[in-house]
Amino acid sequence: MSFLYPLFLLGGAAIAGPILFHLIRRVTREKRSFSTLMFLKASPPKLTRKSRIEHWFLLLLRCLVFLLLALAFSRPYLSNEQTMLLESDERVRHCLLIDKSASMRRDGLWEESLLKAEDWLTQWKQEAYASVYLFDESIHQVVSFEDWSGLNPDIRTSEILNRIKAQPPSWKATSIDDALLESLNRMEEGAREQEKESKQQAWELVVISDLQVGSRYEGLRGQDWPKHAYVVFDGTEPRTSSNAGLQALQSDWQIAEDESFIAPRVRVSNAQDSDQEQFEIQWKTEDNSLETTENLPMYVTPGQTRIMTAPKWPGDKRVNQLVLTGDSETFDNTIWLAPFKPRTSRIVLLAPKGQKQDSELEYYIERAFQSIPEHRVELIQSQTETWEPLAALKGIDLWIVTRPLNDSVAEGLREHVKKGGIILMPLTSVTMQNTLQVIWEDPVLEIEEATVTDYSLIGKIDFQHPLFAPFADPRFSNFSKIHFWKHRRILNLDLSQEELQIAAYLDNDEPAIITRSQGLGRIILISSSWTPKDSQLALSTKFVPWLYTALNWGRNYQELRTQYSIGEAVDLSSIPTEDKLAIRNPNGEVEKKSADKLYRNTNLPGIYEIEADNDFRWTFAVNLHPDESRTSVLPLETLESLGVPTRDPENAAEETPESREQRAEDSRLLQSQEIEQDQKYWRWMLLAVLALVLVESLVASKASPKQFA
Amino acid sequence: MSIKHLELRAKVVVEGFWNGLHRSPYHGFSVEFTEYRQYTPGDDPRYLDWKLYARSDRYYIKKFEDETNLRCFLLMDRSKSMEFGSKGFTKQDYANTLAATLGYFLSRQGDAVGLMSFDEVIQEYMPARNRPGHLRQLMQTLEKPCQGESTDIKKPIKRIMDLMKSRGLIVLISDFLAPLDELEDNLATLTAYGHEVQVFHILDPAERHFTFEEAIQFEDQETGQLMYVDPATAKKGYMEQMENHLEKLKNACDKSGIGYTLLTTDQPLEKGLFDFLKARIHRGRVVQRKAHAG
Repeated sequence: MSFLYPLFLLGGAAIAGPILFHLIRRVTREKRSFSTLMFLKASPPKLTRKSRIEHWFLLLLRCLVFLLLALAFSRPYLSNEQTMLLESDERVRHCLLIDKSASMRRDGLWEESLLKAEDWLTQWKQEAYASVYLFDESIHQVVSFEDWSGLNPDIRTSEILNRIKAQPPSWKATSIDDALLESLNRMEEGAREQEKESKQQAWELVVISDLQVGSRYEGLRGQDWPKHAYVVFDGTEPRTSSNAGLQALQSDWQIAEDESFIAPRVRVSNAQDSDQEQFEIQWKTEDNSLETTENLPMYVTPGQTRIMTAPKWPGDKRVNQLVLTGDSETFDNTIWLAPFKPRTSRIVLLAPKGQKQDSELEYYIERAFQSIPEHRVELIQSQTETWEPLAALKGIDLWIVTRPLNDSVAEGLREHVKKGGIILMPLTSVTMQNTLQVIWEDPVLEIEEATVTDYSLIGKIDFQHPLFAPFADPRFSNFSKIHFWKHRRILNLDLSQEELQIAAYLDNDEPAIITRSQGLGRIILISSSWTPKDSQLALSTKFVPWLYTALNWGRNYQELRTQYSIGEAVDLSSIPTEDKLAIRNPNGEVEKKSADKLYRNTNLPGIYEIEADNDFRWTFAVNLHPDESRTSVLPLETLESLGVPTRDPENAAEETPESREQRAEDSRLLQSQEIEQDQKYWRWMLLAVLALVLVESLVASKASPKQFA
Repeated sequence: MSIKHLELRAKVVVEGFWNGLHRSPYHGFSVEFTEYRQYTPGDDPRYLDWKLYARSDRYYIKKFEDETNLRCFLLMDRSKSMEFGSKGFTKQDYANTLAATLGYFLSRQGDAVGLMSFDEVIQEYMPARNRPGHLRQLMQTLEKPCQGESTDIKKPIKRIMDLMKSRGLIVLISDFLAPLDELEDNLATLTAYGHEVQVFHILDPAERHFTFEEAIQFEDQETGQLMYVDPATAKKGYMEQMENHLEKLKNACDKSGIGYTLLTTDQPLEKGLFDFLKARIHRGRVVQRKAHAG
């Protein structure tokens, strides 16, 4: 039997207490009160030997209680042969993680990393288990555990260093959390395979990184680390700390109506430990062939960020870079800007024939869908009674039907929408019944004018519904001020259809907004309309946002943008072609890609061009992730507070015989703790103590002399 | 239960023991008229019958029958020695129950009950009365804890002689664990005053028979004196002394014609009372016979 804390055995000396008390007790005097002593004579007391111990059984019980308590506290365990064997088979697994994110492009950092890596690899020369990874946003394997053992120890270090050198720093952001967790997973997998060989291990993860504050580390929160794993952060020291970053913002550009003036919004952030405060921004061409004279000076104090409008974009098409000057690190000083292209939406309004001023429906739609420089809205009004001219229209995002259509138009529209598109159909009057029957493909539907006393309000809204999801926040969810003076009731509507959803009810429990998906398209039915004679919908602040929500509904792809970050996927599905696309990256390499796919190879900063067969052209810029510019050093305490078991590089690196002995001692202690945890004899001992105390109380109560009340 | 069978009318006591069935031969001034008596100077003129004077021109005094009830005083020993008890209750508890039972019965019969508790001095005094609430007050007084350090029976006896001018019953409840030197004289004085005296001697069985076995320090409850006693050797002497003491007390009582009842706390209370009442009846008869003989 062994003990985890043998010092506690000294507590067993406490049995001297009961023995002493059993001796002393004889000396104490008892008294008995009696009514009178007048008839009594004093008799000489009989002497008893003081050293005599009475109640041997009680004494034994009490001594046992103390002994067992001392034993329980010393946490005994039985170590068998197997565990002893494991003790001698203790191994350390190493894993080297080298940061190759964009911030490692700073002056001298990468070279320093290589030197550090060489140090570690040399130190691990004799080790059997090690692996090497590079990481930025994701982890890249250089040497796995299997490769390590496969390599000749003499040339292993140089071989691995060569492999590392072949993958210089990328332009991507840093995900320290992904790197650590992924490497830990791989270690666990490797350990499982070799479980039979050895159970007892120490896992050492060495991270060579600049540990910038812009790294992602939130994923480490709540991570359950194995007891035997620890992380050594071997930080690289940048030669200079003055760094300011420049980023282009996606929105709030200053754009003139005719695009004669375009000035992007940019953000300049200065690092906390920077010495520089004065910077300049300037437009440049790719080959520096044309330099503009217009510089924008700015003053940013260290640790601060400023957002401002860049100088006007020169008319020259070759100018596509904004460059920040004034700081010592250049890797994040250039942003690439693609020529501005506004987003366009096409809306068809099937309004009644006749004078526009008569129909307020169209009036409000025209005012709601206004073009802005970033978003061009093309509103097509049509009074046609035949489908053919409408069928010729391409790329329609929204069909608004406010008048009864004849069957051919309605059927054409229905079939068209099945392939994708949205119909917004306010039930302006009961005359829409026929149109509704055709579009809804349900000939039994009827519309009748609902009788309303005073008005109806919106009673219930399904905020899970895509049409109302943007309004789910309590700040925007109040629709109760919109009065509906009139509305129509749809009869014979089969509400049990799966594709049918009621997005909003009136307060008399009649549907206000019904939606249904039809093929790839959708129909939105409003049981009233937005004209002031029907409702206050158009007067509500919710009207325009709601119309835009309807316009964007179902767009399960992202619009092509002109600005992306490194590593961000570009959704190509919005490109109106079914053929293959050609994408040219800044190096001039062309990649063929299907139109419905995501393009992920945005690994280089610069201008990318997409070309399709049908003369479609799109240019977008890819820039560094803004977080990479935040180059101040991340305090280790931040990571430790997330539960990462860290260790000092000096202690881990220099393994003296003493430290190895200490580690072996530590691991032995750890192991014996584990064995003890499994056995937990102390619990039984405490139980026995309780039982003994109980018996002792019973015996003592019987043994004590009866006293008169 | 045996007490209920004993009818109180069985008491043959001259002064109208137990209320109602007997009439007092003493005349007093009360509601019920008995006879006229010729006025002699010195009589209270208040009781002159003026109407009769008007009719007869003679002075007559109206005489009324006095309703003389028994006046009973309970003399309770409240010394610390009464706090001893080996049966789960003390002698004091036992004595209190006895006094309360007596008080209750007497009170129910319409007799006046008073209380005097004493140790070395007189602690509580309640005059003999029979009015609503009196009995309850008496019980409350009985329940007060013992305080006295020692017992002095002479003082209360002396005091009661001052207080009780008319004849009555005096019930003395005590453990008499005190020297008996002058007790005999005092008791004799009481009976000489015409009072009937009943003594209840309360003892714990442990006191009566000294049932201890273990040699141990004994502490006097009243004085706090300590004495190492080995019962094996001391028991004989104790029993002898105790018997002497009891004998002496019994003799003193008998001499003065005082009823003496020894009660140990393991005896049922009812039995003690039953014995007491039987003894009273017996003594009543003796007294009567003596009177006839005389």
